Amino acid sequence: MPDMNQPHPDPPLRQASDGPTGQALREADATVLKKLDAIMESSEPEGDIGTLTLADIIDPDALQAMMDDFYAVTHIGIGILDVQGNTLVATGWQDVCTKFHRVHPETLKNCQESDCSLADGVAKGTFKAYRCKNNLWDVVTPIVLGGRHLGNVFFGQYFYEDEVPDYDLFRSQARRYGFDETEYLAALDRVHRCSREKVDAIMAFYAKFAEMISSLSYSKIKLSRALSQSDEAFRQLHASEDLFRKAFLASPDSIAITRLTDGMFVSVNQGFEQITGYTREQALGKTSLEINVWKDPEDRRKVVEELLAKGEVRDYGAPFLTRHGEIYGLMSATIIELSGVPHILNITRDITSRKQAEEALQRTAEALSQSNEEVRQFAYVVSHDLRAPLVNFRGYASELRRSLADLDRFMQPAIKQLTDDERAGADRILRQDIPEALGFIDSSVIRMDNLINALLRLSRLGRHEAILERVDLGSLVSEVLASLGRQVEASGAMVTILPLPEVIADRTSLEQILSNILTNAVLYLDPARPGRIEVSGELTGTELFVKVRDNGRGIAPGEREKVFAPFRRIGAPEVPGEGMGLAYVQALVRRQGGRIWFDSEPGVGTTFSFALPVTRS
Amino acid sequence: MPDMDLVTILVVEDDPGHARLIEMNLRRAGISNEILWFENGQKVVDFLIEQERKGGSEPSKSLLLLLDLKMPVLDGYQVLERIRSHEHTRHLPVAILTTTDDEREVTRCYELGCNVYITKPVDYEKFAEAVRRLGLLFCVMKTPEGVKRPGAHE
Repeated sequence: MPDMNQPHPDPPLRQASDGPTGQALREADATVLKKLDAIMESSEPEGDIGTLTLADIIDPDALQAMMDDFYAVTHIGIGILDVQGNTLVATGWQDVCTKFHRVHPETLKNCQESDCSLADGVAKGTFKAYRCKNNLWDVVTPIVLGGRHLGNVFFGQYFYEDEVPDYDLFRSQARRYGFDETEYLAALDRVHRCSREKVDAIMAFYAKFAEMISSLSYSKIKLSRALSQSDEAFRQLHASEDLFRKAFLASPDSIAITRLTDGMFVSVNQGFEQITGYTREQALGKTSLEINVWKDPEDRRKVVEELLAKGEVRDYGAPFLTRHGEIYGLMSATIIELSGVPHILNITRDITSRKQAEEALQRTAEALSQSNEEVRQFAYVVSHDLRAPLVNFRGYASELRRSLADLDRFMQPAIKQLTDDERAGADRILRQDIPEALGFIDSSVIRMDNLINALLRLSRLGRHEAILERVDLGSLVSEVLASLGRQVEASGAMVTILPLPEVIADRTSLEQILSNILTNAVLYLDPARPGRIEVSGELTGTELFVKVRDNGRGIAPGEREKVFAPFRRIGAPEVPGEGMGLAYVQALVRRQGGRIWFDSEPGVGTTFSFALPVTRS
Repeated sequence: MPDMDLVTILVVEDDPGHARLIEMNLRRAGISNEILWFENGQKVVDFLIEQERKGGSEPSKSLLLLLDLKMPVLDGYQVLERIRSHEHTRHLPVAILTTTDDEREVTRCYELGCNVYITKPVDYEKFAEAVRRLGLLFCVMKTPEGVKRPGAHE
């Protein structure tokens, strides 16, 4: 008979229909479901009850309450134990057990062994009567769930009505375990006596009961599992709906659902309210054409047409009318069905400011390009209009020189007649002052012509079309140096060309850049020491870096900003030039998306570096 | 083929200084032909219309144009365009002589049908040389036989 951790008093008779029993049952359901929920989360495969124990499946308290009621009426006790020997439900406790067998450690051990080993091996739906190890009758039927033996239902202890207890045996047990013989035998006499038919009837009932517990519990597990899975699906659906609802509400973009046929607003979000200035109340039930959202109703027609053709519309740009004025929106839409009726779910982003910014940018770019063109045009026109008078300056200076020579020849006889002073004066005028004046005119015109040519070159830069080709930079530097041959030789400079890469670049630009930088390096060497120039370069990623290092005069810190300025020259006035070389180089480099810079220390040298985006050869 | 001596050179040039330098250097190159100066495009067009009106009165008289580009009223391009689109003047030899050496201008002039394009260099030596070569070219162009070699002086 079951092992009770605490004594279980006979309960008073209670109404089963309601009250604590019904209540307990309902609570039990909840508890069991909760337990199952926890277990289901580990998602055992279908049909497997996993690690569930009997206590997890039945509700011991509810059953106890029910069986207490049953005992009060029938005086038929019950014990429900799991296979580990834990008592879950027990009624009809016999004194001989509670006051004697379960008190002495040795007889208690007999009880426990009986409950487990003697009760084992009974087929499902059948029962077995046996004498417990303390020599009383017990009968057992198993609880089997999903093929697993989880526990047993016991009825006992009892004597059959037609048998006489073996008092000698019990007397000897009393002596062996030190029980009070009189009280022990009296307790023995109070043991329930049953007819064999009654035992069979009770056990048939309990076997069915066990079957019922098993099948109900098993169904419950399956149901719970199904419920739990359906719960999960529902939870996910709910979460997804919640997510959509939040996105719908929180989106700063306008989201609206309209009926496909007429554009009637069915649902709008806050974004819609904010962007259009219409409240939900004002919009719902009205069509988009009634509210006059589309600036051009033709746009709605096109969107619907595309929706019907492709099922969705992406980034359809159109002007919309709002209560705050006209905006430019980018609409994406798809067709959804609400209760079988096709609707348009559309999301519209207000890109008015982006559009305006783009337009402003476009206007600026156009203005800039126009102003660039004007600058080029100006430089071009000025260059030519300035050139025309120069042709006259030089032309007539030459003509004057020629006439002067003739005049000189014609005048000589007359000059000879003059006094010494007068002759000296005439000579000075004819052979010194006038030629000198003509010389100044010539040199100024040459200089002016050079300036104009430089200006012209700069103005034409914008028109040069880059031709990308394979360029061996090392050879190119050698060619440039060869073209500067005389200057380089005259300077006595030692030029070192370190290994240079092959690149895909505009050869003409590279040549002009290198030529100008190298010319400067040669021209601005310091006469006080042997000149050294070193050219190095490398490809890093998609950029070409080139360095030209010299040990020349260097650039004073105060002169740095003049370096790239047009028509500005620095340092040595004896060095020829218009001051356009580096301005031109900088314009060339920048036009190709590159950059140019320098490091310099007066008296030590200068390093010019430039970087151009190129493709590796 | 008309004799080179009968060819009249029309210098269309808004800068009188340039016109005079051109004339002086043509003379030095041995060109003795009649040289007429027009200070803008309109004037030379008027002259050509007048020539056409006279018709065959002077059939042997040939013309040759030295045309500047930047000019008031009608510029060189317009003049060139009119000459080439007009039946009567379609085959007139036209040499562009201008300060512009811009590639676009050169291309445009050749597209409009000029015979030669020469840039006026600021350097007077080169200028004189250019005009001298032009004079030589005229001889070749107009006098395939019995070429008068221009004098070697200057």
